[in-house]
Amino acid sequence: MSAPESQRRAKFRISTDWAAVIVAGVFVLAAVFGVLPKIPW
Amino acid sequence: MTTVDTAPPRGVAALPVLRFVPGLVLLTVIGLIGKWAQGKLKDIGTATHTALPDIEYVLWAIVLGLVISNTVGVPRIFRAGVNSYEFWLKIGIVLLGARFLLGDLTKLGGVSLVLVFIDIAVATSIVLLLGKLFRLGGKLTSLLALGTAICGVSAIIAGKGAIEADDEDSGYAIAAILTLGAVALFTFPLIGHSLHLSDHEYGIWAGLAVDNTAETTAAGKLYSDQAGDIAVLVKSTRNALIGFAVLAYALYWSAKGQAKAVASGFLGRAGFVWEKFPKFVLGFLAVSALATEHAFTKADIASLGNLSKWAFLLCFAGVGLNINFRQLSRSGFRPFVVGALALVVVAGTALVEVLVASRVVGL
Repeated sequence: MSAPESQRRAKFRISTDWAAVIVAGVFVLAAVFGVLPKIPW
Repeated sequence: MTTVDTAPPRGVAALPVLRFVPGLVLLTVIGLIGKWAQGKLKDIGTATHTALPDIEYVLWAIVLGLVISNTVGVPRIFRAGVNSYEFWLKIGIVLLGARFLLGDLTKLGGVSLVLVFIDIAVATSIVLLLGKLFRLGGKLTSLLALGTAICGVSAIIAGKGAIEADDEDSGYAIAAILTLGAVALFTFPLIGHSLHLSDHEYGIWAGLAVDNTAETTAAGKLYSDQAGDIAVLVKSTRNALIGFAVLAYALYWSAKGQAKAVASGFLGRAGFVWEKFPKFVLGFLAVSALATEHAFTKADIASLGNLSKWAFLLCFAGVGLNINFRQLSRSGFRPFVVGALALVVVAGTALVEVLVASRVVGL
């Protein structure tokens, strides 16, 4: 792995943490406000 | 992976989001095929009155991805989307918080924390010892110890910058950890079943001993849904310690004059730990706090749980697509042997810890 590649991955890791929290948070807030549709499995 | 080219192909570079689409479609298709295959095999068994094994969608998705990766390969246009599997893993973990009450987290997290500390001490000692025996470089040994004791690739990447390890060392360490993660993925469920471990025992064991978070989640879910949930919780406890572990190695290498100085003072050190802290763990705790406060209806909890499973499904397809035996074989023999021996010792120790905690102490 080249240095810029590893730095990009490190940056990606940090940003994906918050991005994942935000995306999941949208669904969680929808559930809190009672507007989350039924999700089947 | 260590040598994957993630640069976007020409034509889609102008719209960065679009470059994720082909890979996401591939993850979705593989995941859906895996889910379909599980149901279909069950239907065939029922229709023919045959006792066919219940092969989980997790295994189908991983194996299908693995076959594609090692036969036709993953074309460059799919790489960006396929490499987003950690993103889906983290979304799945945050949403999983809806299925845990804070009281359960405190109890299980408290027990896990004690076991995690023992696990980290054993993993670190054994890797440092084996590293000397096999004459690995000091920084490569540090990276392997971080990857084995804490959280696989994320810890190695975080550690690499902090101790100023070179690319070759981090490449070897990442490849060794990923190879062993793939081995653990398939061997842990078999060992768990042969020892008749309960879901609870197996989940804690997998969470303690499997190195990479994605592989830990998959190894847990391969056993059962409940085992998977517990494995994720225990692994998150390990992940939460990443900042402290990386700080310790950074201080060590800095004191030897072979890495940049770490910020001094309490605030400087706290900032360092916060920078490395996996923020999705906070999301998981926040969702769990909402569940504890009864912010969700039963139907909402079921829906959030199902969303979590869909996110994990994409992640598992990505795990399979990222296992490339040809690339992993370049990991170097000695780092791999050190990692493998460490995995065996850590898995054995963790198993004894779990059995003592569960069957002797009664936790």
